[in-house]
Amino acid sequence: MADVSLGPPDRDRLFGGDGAREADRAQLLLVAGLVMAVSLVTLVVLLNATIYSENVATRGIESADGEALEVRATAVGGAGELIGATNRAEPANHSEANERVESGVEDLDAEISRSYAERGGVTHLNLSSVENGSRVTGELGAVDPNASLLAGNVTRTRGFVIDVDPDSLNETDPAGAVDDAFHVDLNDSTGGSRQVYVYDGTDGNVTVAVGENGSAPTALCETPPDGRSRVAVDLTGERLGDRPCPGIWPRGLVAPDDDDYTVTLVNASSAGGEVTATARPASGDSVSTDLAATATAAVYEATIELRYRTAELRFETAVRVAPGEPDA
Amino acid sequence: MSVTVGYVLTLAIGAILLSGVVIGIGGVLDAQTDRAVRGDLSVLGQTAAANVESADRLARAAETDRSSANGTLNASVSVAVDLPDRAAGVPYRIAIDDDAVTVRTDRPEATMAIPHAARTNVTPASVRGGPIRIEYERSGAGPGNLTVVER
Repeated sequence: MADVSLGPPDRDRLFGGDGAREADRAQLLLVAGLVMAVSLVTLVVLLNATIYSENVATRGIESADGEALEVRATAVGGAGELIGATNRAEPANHSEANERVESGVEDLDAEISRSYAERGGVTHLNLSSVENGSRVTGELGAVDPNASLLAGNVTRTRGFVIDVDPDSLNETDPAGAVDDAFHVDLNDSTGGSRQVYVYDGTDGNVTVAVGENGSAPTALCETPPDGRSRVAVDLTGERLGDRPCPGIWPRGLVAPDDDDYTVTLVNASSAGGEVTATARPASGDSVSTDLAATATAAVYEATIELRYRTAELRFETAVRVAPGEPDA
Repeated sequence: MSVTVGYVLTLAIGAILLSGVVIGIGGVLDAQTDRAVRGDLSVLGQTAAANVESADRLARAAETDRSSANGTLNASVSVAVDLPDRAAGVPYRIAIDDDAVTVRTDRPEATMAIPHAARTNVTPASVRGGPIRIEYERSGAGPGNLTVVER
């Protein structure tokens, strides 16, 4: 059987002699090992910090503003639709229109608050003020064929759309448009006027041309009727049919410029269709118009106060809502 | 060779080797610290710049179609950013102006300038590295500025 018992302690190794050198070397190795271990731990910590920060960087920075912009767009879009629906419902007077908008904004506030509370955001929406105006509509065939005042002494106009019947338009060219074509005259009280002509170009397209101070106009854009019974000429939205047509509305009549101007329909017998516009008078609540029979009280614009808060973000503003107003 | 000479030689060679290890690893550590600090500064600078741009977008959205009538709500934006107090264990500072966010440390000496695309005026400021807040406030028709403050 093998002898596994421990022998007596080696005196030389413990207390000197040749064994002392081995013990010193071991001490050196121990210190070197300790230095390397500490260094490696430090390196690991640094590496970890680098990996963490680069991971954070590649994960992408969450855009803090996306939801606030979404809330604003929802509030402005909702308030715009509310104003449009209120005006289309033809309220009996301005106080009725204002009450509808006020109660609609309260409902919108409740809906938006509920929707964003689920996502951890707090919203508050309230109506600050309302500007009154008139919504004027009419058949082109029913207005004075020579000149009919659509809106007199107004400071702002929005949602000014003429749905023309392409077959009813006079066929002409820019040179003959001044006398023959249906046109809208925008007469600025501080001087100067802009005419927007709508006619059938010689190629059968619905053509829009603009002129200044009664001079021969320049064709701006045209669109083929493609069998449609109505083609929309959106003057304030600067669109013809489904295409943009920049340059229809004069820059001088865009908010915040508050010059008075007059909108007149001229040569209405040279076109068929319907006209719609909402305008804000320079004074009072209603605009003067020759189409008084079909003009109704309307809300021109509303100012809503919007507040949105999350743990990291605060966004507050007062927004003017006037859907269909020409862009500055 | 006597026992004493052998002993001294062993100690000397051991000491030289140990010094080599310490010096070599110290150099590696310094280089790695520098690299880690620069990497962290770059990430922190980009996070700060992204949030400045975010606040700028919100400020411009708050100004779009804003009513400046008396008594209406001011355009007001505040974005809180949770940045760490240290970059790779080293305190740092954040300086911001119209063109860039600059983050820097003194030891090791490192500076990273991250350009931002904010179009709103930025009030030049220098703050201690850590949680910050980017604010915008405007009433009436005066110009509005983005301001960075410590939280």
